[in-house]
Amino acid sequence: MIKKHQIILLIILILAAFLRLWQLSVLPPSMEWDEAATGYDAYSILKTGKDQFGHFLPLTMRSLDDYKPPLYTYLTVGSIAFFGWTDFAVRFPAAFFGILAVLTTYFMVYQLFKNRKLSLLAALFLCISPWHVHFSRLALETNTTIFFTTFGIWAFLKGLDKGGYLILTAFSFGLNLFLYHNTRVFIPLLSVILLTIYFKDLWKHKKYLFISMLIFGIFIIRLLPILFSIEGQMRFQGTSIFSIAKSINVDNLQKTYIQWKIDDQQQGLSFTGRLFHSEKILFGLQMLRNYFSHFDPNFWVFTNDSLRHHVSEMGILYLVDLPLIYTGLYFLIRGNKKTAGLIIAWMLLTPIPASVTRDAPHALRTTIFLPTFQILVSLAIINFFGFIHRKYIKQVFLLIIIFLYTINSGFFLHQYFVHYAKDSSLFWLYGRKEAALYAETVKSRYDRIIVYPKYEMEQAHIFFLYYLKYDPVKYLQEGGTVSGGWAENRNQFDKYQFKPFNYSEDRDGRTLFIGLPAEFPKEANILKRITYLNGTDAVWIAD
Amino acid sequence: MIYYFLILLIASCIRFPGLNLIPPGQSANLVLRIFSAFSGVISVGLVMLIIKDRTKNISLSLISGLILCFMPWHIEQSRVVSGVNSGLTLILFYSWVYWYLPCRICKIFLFAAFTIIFWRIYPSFWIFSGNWTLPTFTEIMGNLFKLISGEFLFFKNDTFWRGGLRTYGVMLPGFIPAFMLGIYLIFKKQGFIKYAKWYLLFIIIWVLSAVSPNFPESREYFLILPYLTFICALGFYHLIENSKKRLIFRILFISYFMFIIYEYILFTHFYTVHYQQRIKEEFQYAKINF
Repeated sequence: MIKKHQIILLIILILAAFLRLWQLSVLPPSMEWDEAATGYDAYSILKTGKDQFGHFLPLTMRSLDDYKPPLYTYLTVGSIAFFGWTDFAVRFPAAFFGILAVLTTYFMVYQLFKNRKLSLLAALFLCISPWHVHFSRLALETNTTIFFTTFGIWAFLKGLDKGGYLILTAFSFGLNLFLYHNTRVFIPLLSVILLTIYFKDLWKHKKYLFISMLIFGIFIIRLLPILFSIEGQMRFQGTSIFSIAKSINVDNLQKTYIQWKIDDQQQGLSFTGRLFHSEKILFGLQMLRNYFSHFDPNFWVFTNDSLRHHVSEMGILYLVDLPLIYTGLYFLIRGNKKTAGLIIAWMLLTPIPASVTRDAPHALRTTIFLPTFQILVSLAIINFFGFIHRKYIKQVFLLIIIFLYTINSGFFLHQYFVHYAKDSSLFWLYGRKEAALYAETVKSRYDRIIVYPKYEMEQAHIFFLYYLKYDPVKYLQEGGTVSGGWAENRNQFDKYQFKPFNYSEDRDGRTLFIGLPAEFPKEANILKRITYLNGTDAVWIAD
Repeated sequence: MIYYFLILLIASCIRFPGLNLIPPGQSANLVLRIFSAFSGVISVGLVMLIIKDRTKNISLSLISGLILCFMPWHIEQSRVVSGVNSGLTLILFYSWVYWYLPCRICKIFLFAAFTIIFWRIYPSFWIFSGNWTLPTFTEIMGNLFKLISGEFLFFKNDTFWRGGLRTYGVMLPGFIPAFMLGIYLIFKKQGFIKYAKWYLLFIIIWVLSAVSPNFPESREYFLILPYLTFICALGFYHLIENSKKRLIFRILFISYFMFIIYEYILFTHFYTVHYQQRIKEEFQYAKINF
């Protein structure tokens, strides 16, 4: 017999599916670099067993020279095989696992708190979370980690009673290590926390505990060579605050520290200069600042993060979430110690990997925060209800909560489904598809087509490969991708060449030029002007 | 008792020496700076007294006094002409006296008297200034969140551009573990709802600071320092008590304490060497009392 909570859960899942699947291929309005690269690599593996560089079933996707963990791409292989090679198929795994994450959140929260209403609320809030809805619609690895994490924790908690479930945890956490860079730090730390908090309960299932640790250990052992290889270090080098490509903020701080050292030397205080103004202190402080920036309510609610990560005039959490998060934290701390320890440790561990990267705070790199905020919000509401004894006050409180969330979520959904495409088309690199398809229609008139890979047109080769659905077999026979690097000028296939051009000098009547408007002089013979959805020029095509 | 005087002595040693040299200032302002430094020392004593009265915990009150004594923002404000520093001392004095007043009428009368004195010694408080152009709702929310953000509390206090530290937060970054532990203990043991009236004043100051038309060029938030002091003191007190239980905890605590000392030496170096250099380069002494 179907119970009431099961019906409610089903409704929540249907809502989750709708929010994540409806118009999936057109919202966000275009595939960005990582999505296009994942899509092409997935199709290439499906057809040839090799990625765009010719590596057979790689455990690291070189992709755009960012060496992505492979699991999401392999999930996309299955999706493309089922749905065909479309934008929908490439984004589907994220949406699918986003929907499943709502389900696993329900089960996980129930295992933690043994409260059906709390579990349903947490699932509902995750279902309508702007942070989760948006990233469930992107072909990026990060959101899928939420499913594997919540599933793993659910299985772990079940395993405290029935040890066999621990094996599922090991597999889930192990797979997570091959899903996203951040989980390679987060999951091992979370595992240590789980072992520490629940050690006495785990020791009753020694056999399964050791088997699980062995399985997880195999994943770690397989991961270690990747981590310490040059390829594994490339992503870190490309995004860390220590690298040459550090942020302007860190660069300015370094200059300030150098100036302080000089000031100290001029005052005969060379020793203090070395002691107090070393780069170790600078980077240490910067890491701490980056870490705490992820707990800034401004970041959650108003956010200065990229417009690729949130809708306009809104952050990644609802405004009404804020007081409830702090209230929920209060009730969490005063509740069960183990549960509080787990949730708080989860929240404290999440920003650690992102703290060594530039561009902090970063919504994408800390998606694994979810669903802790939703759990806190649910806790606050359930406990408030527990405090209120009079029925009519409960009803008023319930109406207020419903009203506030209706307004907040209504605003988000309006901004997302009505305005977001237009507001963010520049950030989503809209126009590359149109440029590729147009070039293909006129290709026969030209000997070569040069695409200028600069600024928003960087890595242009991946867009043309993806949207033209260029046969991977043929592409690999031609040599495949030379490099995904941002300054690479040697990529080419068919008549397409991806390198800088000087329109005035290179023009010969048999060449088609594709680039940003700034690359063309006033007298250029523009065949097509492609605009972003807000009307500003995106890509020009000329001969 | 002797420990209280010792802490007051330390506070005096930090706030009085070289008063018109660090940071550099006009000789005409020296008297005002002495008054500010004196207020700073008194406020350290008052914080200790209030916490001792409310919690009956002498160790906690001493730790609170020490923390406020060494707090970067409090040191910085005690060494310049600062109406808000004097205002804080007045509020603390009123808070201490409040519990001993016999009747409600006395409390109201004293409140009125203190408000007038507060207005006289802190005329730059934005409500008294006559400029009531409030920020927008979105700006206010952003300001509120900024004032409780880690960045502001521990890394960059930019509420007072003219002469403010900026390179440091309200507290040293090393205070973070103690602060977080203090917050946890307040939730867990103190009972947030039971002591809600204690936090009412904090909420009032927090909101007043956020809606200030001069934000971030405002120092009203300085008035919440006693709360931050208490939270950190609670965390430190708990750490000290736990360090007595096992050797490993003692070693960890001593290491942590040594790190705090290193950080404080780093702050002192910055304050005495680089801060005054920056002030010399940036500041126009002739225009305001500093």
